[in-house]
Amino acid sequence: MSGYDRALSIFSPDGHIFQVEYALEAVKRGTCAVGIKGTDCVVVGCERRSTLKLQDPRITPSKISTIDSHVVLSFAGLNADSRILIEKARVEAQSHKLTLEDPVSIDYLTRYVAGVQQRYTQSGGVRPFGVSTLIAGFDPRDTQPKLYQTEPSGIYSAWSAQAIGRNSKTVREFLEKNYSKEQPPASEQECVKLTVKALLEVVQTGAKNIEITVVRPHSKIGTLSSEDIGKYVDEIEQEKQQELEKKKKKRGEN
Amino acid sequence: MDITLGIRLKDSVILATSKAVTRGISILKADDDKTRQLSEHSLMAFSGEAGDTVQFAEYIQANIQLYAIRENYELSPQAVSSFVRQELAKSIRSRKPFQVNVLLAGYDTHNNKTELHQIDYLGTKVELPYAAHGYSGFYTFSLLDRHYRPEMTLQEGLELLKLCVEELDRRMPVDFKGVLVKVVDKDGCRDLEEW
Amino acid sequence: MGSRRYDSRTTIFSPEGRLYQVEYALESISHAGTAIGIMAKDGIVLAAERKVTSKLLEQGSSSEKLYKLNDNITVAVAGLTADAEILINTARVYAQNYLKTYNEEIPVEILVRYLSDVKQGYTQHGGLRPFGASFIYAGYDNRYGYQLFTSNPSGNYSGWKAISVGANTSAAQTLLQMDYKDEITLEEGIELALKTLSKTTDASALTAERVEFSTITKLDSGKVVQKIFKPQEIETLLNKTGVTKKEEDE
Repeated sequence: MSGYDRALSIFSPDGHIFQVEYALEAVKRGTCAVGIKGTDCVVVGCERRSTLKLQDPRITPSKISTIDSHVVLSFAGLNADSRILIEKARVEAQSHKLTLEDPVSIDYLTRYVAGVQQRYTQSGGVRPFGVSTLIAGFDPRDTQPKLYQTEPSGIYSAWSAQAIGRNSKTVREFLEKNYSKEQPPASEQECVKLTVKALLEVVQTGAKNIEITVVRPHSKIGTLSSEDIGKYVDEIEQEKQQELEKKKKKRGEN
Repeated sequence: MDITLGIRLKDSVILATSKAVTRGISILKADDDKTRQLSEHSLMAFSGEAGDTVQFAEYIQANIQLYAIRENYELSPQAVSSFVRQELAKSIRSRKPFQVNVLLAGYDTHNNKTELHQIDYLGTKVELPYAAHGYSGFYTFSLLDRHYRPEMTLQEGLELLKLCVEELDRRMPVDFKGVLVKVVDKDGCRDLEEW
Repeated sequence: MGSRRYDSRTTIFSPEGRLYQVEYALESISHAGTAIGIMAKDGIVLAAERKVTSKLLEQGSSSEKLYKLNDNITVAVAGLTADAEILINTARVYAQNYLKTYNEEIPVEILVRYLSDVKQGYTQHGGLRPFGASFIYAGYDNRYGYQLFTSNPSGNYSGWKAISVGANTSAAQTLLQMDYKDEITLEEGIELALKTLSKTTDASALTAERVEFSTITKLDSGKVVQKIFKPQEIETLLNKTGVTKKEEDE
């Protein structure tokens, strides 16, 4: 390396902006977040930061934040950085509503967040945000689920199902295998179950380290309790057990 | 000549606002809503300079809603009234002040109590059992002084409001096209179509 | 020294996506005097150990580890006192501003988040080093009752039932985890705090001039009382809990 990664965000001779690439590494070190579109809902789930024994669950901040009554944002990466983005997004959502009467569309909000992230890759004296986000919700007066991702570089993209953060590759591969664009999860339950299942690929400790939020049309956002998530986890574990036994039996028969 | 009237009852607060929009000697509109809901349990009625009123009310509404989204928690009606007062107090000291007077009705879910605040464009804030801005007070305070009791039910409150509106109909020099009535209680804010 | 290239500016990611300046600030705090916070069902205890450098140093009555932020939040500091005092001053101003705007005391988390956002800013904007201070906040508000938070130079914050920051924090945290019970009383909390501090201190024994101590409780009238203990009161407490020089004598 020849100094092109030292000044904040400038091009190196071979065309890299190192600070942005390194910011992506910070994202990969953050806890995993997953978003999945159903037919009439979007589910966002994430790995909760390790809840240590003496942590107070009432007041430990959540990794899924409401931006307005119809849209949520989850992230992977530096927690403190994410708060800044979330705050900016919330203010923009209210300000948009104040000037245009309509609440923000999910697409607009994503472009806004990505725009802020882009600005921090090109302005003097700042480092990029070490954060990727998943933005999920429904446009006002619409029943089409929306799910977007933004990255430290300011790139944004739309997804049917996506994972970011630590081990996101494993989760994405799981989703590619188990999610069909033609036949998305038909019910909310199925969608939540798939999200939990995807997270269980990388979360070892089960329900207490998982957070799930469901967004439905017309500003209905619901967060699942730890017990509710526990039920899904048990169900999935049971199915896995049964499958294992079936396999064993087959082997036995042969 | 806009009418804004508020009556605080035992379990609810009534806000009544005139439905007419007037400009000069003309009535432009007969179904106006001079209120904005700020949060689940707080409602603001406003009167004053046309343009300023809605601009101010929606600005306040956006800020209170931003607080609710940020904190996942509703500001108490007392805190809302303080915030509004501060905004008007800042405004009167600015280059171009808002000319807006407001009534704030709220239900404090923490202490289970009803609240009615009156704030004028100078930033004067008072908590009151019943309140009005503009001319409407001249015609209704005598009735309210005579008949108001703090432990009144919503039904009784509406009957008292009816007396007030009848008096206004009789005495006001212009037609204000009746009043729009809203109620705040423990279940939130709602319109009363028939009252 | 793979890290050398990336540790000279705070606002820069290393190739592994780390912020070395922030990590070094955390490292500096791990040498600072320990601070402990314990939430009981009827109050919160904050205890801190200060490093006494010389016998000749005048120990003024002013505390250097414990500060009142407003009428219902006390904070304990580990790290650079000078850095901390800047943050404490901004926190006090912010808390009074909130009180002026809403005519209500600021909820604990809002103040914690505000200070954490200030700290975050110093990890992202150019030419500045992060604040070298971690805090333990003990406070009361109507939404959640008693609350205990920590924040560190990265701008992260989290809520706890019992927590320690500063030197020997991992040892202290293990001790707290062993002895903390959910239904602990303030009385027991005080004892646990002093015992933990005495077991993790680098000095031979705890003495009143090494310890700063405070409690926060709510009276039945609804008034929140913050008590920062005077040296004599700490002396009495130490004797009562039996963690003082006695151990040496034994």
